[in-house]
Amino acid sequence: MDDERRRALARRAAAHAESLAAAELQVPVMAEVVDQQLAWTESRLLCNHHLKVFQRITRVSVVFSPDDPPQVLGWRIDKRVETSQDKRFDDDTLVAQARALQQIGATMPLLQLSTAPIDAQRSFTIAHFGLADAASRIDVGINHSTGEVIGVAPVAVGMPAALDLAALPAADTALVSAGEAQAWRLIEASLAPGLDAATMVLARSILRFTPAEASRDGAGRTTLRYHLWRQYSLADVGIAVASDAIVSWYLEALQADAAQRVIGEADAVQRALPHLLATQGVRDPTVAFGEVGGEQKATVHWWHAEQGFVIEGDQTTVLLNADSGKVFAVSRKWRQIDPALLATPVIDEPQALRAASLVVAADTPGHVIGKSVIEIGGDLAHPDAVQDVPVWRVGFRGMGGVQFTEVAVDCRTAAIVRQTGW
Amino acid sequence: MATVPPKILKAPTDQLHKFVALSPEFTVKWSRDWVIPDNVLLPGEVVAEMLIDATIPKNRPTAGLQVKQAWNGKSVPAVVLPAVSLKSGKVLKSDDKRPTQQFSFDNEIYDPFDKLRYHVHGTVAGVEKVCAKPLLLKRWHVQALDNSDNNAGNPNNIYQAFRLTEGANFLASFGANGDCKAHTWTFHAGNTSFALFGEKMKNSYTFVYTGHGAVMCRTCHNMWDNRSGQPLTAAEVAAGIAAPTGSDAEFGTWTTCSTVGCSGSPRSTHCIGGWQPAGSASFMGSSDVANAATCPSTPKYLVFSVCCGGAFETSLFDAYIGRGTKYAVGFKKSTRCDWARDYAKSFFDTWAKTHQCDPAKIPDVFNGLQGTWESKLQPSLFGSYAGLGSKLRNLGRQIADLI
Repeated sequence: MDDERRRALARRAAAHAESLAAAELQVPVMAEVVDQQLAWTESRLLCNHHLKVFQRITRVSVVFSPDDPPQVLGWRIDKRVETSQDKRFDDDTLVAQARALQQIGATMPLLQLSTAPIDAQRSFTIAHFGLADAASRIDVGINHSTGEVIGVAPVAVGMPAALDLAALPAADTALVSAGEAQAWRLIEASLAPGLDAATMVLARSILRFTPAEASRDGAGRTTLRYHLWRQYSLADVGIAVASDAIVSWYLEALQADAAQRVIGEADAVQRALPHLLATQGVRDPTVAFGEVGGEQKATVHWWHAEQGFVIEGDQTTVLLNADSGKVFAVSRKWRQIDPALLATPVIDEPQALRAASLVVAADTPGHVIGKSVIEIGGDLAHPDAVQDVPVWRVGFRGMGGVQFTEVAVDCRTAAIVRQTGW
Repeated sequence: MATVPPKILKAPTDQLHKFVALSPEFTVKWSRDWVIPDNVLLPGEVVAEMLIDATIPKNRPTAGLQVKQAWNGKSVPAVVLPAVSLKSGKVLKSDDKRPTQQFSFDNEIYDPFDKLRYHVHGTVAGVEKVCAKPLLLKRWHVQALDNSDNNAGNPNNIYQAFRLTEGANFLASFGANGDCKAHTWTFHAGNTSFALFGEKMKNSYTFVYTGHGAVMCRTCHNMWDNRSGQPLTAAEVAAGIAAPTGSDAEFGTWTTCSTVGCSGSPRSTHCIGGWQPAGSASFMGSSDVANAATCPSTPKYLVFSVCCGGAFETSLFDAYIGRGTKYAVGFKKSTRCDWARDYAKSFFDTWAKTHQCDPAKIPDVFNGLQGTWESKLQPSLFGSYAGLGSKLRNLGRQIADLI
């Protein structure tokens, strides 16, 4: 598989994980593929993806001077705007907050204070500093409910021009990295009072910055905006390479926090049903309740049989959080079987038993288990070589039942096409 | 030879005496790049010599040794180092041999799981030096692979058909990581005592048993019945078990004690040690795993058993967890070899390759495979692990509030 194909599958997996998380959270999300592996499993080539899914916390901006090396002129954390409601601090206190910033200090002239509306109910305060020269002006945004500084930034000169993040020259690429490092420092400074050192290390592992926008004003000052994300869940997505179909997924967050069993069997089936895409030869479902690491789960399972043949390997299995009722994992395989394979067998049961008994030395006689359509042939390098074969399955017990051999006899030719067991 | 400026002392006689003080000149290094912990399978890969060679001085009645963790510079717990001296330029023990180091769980190895490197420090004439290249203690992964089915005259040769592939898969999954050493021990389960089996786990990071398992009755010591497409047994009829349907999900399910009317409770076992005479308990169970005389130590982080019914009831893997193993993975059902092979490969590839054998990721790997394998094998995970994802989400919320 070439790199472009791998990347396409990774994008598909990420998009699927994002759609699952977005449906749950209703906020912007981002999936990051941690690993991608090709696997030959159950007679099909799968591309399995392990992912981390993040939800957006806020945007963080950093402003750089046009100097070489660039100097940090300002920053802004958007989230601090959101909590600004009624003004609880007087103007002198807000100005003192602003003057505590290195960019402002004790002497920079205050030009004015203004109130910036967020919506009909909420607003925040902007303290405008500087001299008559427009290029020297600096605005400080302050949450007047909490007193927190939202950001400090030079007032743009002229209309800032957007920069294309996908086509930045090398110098600007370096600036994006420097901006991210500065954004980390800002966030860590915010967290340091509330988190101990060990938790801070953990915190860094669950946060991500991604560049969002870049612009440059008439004075050559560059503003870089980043999305800040926090980890929401681990996820796995399996894609069948031959069909591009998503055949399995798992979202850890939906499994979690299931201390008790709330849903019943009928409810579990009802919730699982939309994930059953198969219509042909659907059998059951069965519902089983269990737990994984103390989390209660329900398993709804359908299997496939047609005209007396079990279609081996075919299933739709849906796992639900037994507390919330949310589906947290789905796995499916459902083949379209050539009707000719389901014809009345040419070889009958006794003939199959005799054929199987010729190749197995066991201490008990064999027994015909039944008819199945099984898959034979194919491997990682030859995935297209898989064939469906209608067989009689014949079982032999050995070592008092510790050992078991199953022989598959072709219903059409009496050829032995597979041996398995335990 | 390094020198320091001449030192001039004024003696009472007004005569001047010149002395030249020479700094100790010596090197400190390990005799090899990597080792594995003390074990019975590859004893030649266990011991590293501490090579401390001096040009100045050549002899001293004492010298110093320390073994420290490379990542934090702390001494390794429970390391007992011999008294050493400098003889003809070599730091040696009293028997004139080089001092050596080998590791075991007593040294709190593999904790954290990715801190695998150790420094040797040598002190000669009061000067301490550390080796330039630390010794790597590789993660020791052992697979016990039952070859009792390897009968050339038997077409039902599970060993040839499946076990060899499972062995190759194990080595490919773990062997690809340079910080790991994987080894497959092939043995005949029927002829192997519990202790010979148990000693192979010693100081292992991971231990995988690939062989037969069985659910036995604690009362009559007969084996339980399981669903393998056979007609209902007399015991199953007596127990009111429903007729089989032949579905994948049903295949391999354990049902009831094979003794008609017996209500004894089940006992999950590894089929080690062969059948015992009627009326006595066969195979290796929880009490054997719990016995330190049988199993000197169980694996540090993972025991993974590709055997039938190992997790049908919890005692077998609870015993591993009780001995300190962090996680155990087994199956409630009888395990069709091709399914178990594919499950194990998926599990090992993801844990060893994606997660670099991080034990904290074992539940993630297990959970990610649930949907595909739940109905066929009923895998079970043992160990304490719930809620890690929720803890991280709570931390994320706390972070969002602080920002």
